[in-house]
Amino acid sequence: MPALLLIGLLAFFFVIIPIIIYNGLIHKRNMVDNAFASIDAMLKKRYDLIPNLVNTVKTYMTHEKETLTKITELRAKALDNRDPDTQVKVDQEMTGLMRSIMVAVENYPQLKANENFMQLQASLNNIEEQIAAARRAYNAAVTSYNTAIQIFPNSIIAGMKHFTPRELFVIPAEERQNVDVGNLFKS
Amino acid sequence: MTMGQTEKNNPFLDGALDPVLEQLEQQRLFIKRKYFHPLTALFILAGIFLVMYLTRQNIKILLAPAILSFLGGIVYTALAQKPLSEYKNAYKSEVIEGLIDRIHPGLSYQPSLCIPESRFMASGLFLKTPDRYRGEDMVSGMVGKTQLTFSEIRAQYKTETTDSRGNRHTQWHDIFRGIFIIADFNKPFKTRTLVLPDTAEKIFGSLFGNTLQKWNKGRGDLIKLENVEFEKEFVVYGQDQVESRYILTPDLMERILNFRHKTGKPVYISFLDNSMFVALSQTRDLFEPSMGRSLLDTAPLESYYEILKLVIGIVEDFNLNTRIWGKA
Repeated sequence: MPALLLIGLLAFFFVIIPIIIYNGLIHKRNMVDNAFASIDAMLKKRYDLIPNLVNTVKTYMTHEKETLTKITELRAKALDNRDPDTQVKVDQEMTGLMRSIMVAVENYPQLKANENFMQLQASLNNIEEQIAAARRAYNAAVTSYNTAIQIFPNSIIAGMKHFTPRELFVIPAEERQNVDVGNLFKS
Repeated sequence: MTMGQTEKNNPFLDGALDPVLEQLEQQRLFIKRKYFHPLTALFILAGIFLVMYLTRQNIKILLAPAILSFLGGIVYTALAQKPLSEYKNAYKSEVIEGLIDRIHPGLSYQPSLCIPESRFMASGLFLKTPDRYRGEDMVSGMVGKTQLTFSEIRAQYKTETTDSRGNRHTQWHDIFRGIFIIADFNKPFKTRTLVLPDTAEKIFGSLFGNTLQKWNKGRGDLIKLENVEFEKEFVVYGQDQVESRYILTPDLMERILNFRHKTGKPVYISFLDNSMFVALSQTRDLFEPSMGRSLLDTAPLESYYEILKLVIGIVEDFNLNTRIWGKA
């Protein structure tokens, strides 16, 4: 009888518990991948708006031709190459360029009053908020996953099964604030 | 609304309310003199006769005046109802409505109405279906670009117990008592997000508290947010990790925290159907005159004013008039 109990206990500690931990880690890793996919979906939404934006502003914006060309190129690059590293890099560059366009709009009162542009601007603001939210969701999932693979005894299973920590998205300081493109126009 | 404007508008400082309050105070004193004093006297008299009758049972005749004065008291109570309700109505329509108008002109005030139970339940903030639902003092209208509606609500459920003698006792328990607010939210969204006071984390600490929060599946997924102070104060459940964060930006979290500190009372918030539902607990009936206290003592009224300012100020506090995300 004690032998049976011993076998049972051993099975519990060396089979059942590792399986539970392993499944938990898989679940968390999938959450991370899932969260990344949602950032990707949001970025795609933003890229969809760009041709529209470029078309609307290019007739008005005479001094920003170069920036607009750059934006179009970046968009093409991002759509061609869907791997995460390119996405992250292009996204950062794109965010900067979009900001500079939105600031430059200040010099074109006619453009500012254009209804089509105002609609686009609202959609872009909305997408920016959603991208920021998706990044934060991704970071929350990564933090939860990284913690899970580092704490004991999960770390043993994680080491055996090659679970590696993921990088957090670096959120630029200005984005930790509420993204308020409307304010850029007032400055 | 800045602090300076508010102070300038304060009706207790510029004396604009004084004539109304003085007139209503006369009305209150009149009701007290004409109805409350006689009916108190009659009930005391009835009591005295009754005691006399009970102690000296041989004098049967004493029962008659006891009954008569008791009946007189009831008649007076009935007679007092009409002037009393007139007085309360005047208080609400002249004083409370005046205060609301001071804070934000153009809002409509309906003292006898309240937010319907269906909307209260639709907020998803409270899971128990009330057995008794009452409310009053509904205010609604536009504050800038934002539609705002609020009213007092008391939702209760009952429990019944039977004691050893077989008598049934009904007890009423509050599900919610306070001000329930519905405001149009400034961003479009599809799923539901709940922001509830975090009792589990406060009692059990973050590690065990988090486990408890996760069990609460009916509310949705637990959303862990990066604002530590916010996480201590609230627990957030949502149906979509990204959309909940899209609504609860770092900025809005700060604003909700500030609001929580300003009220000093538990705050429940839900985001649903492009609206924001806020339930603000209170422990007493608001916007009612007290018969026993002079109206010229404006302390209770000033506290009502502060509460109204806080509630109407939600639109500013939560930045709801900023409409740059494609929602008109």
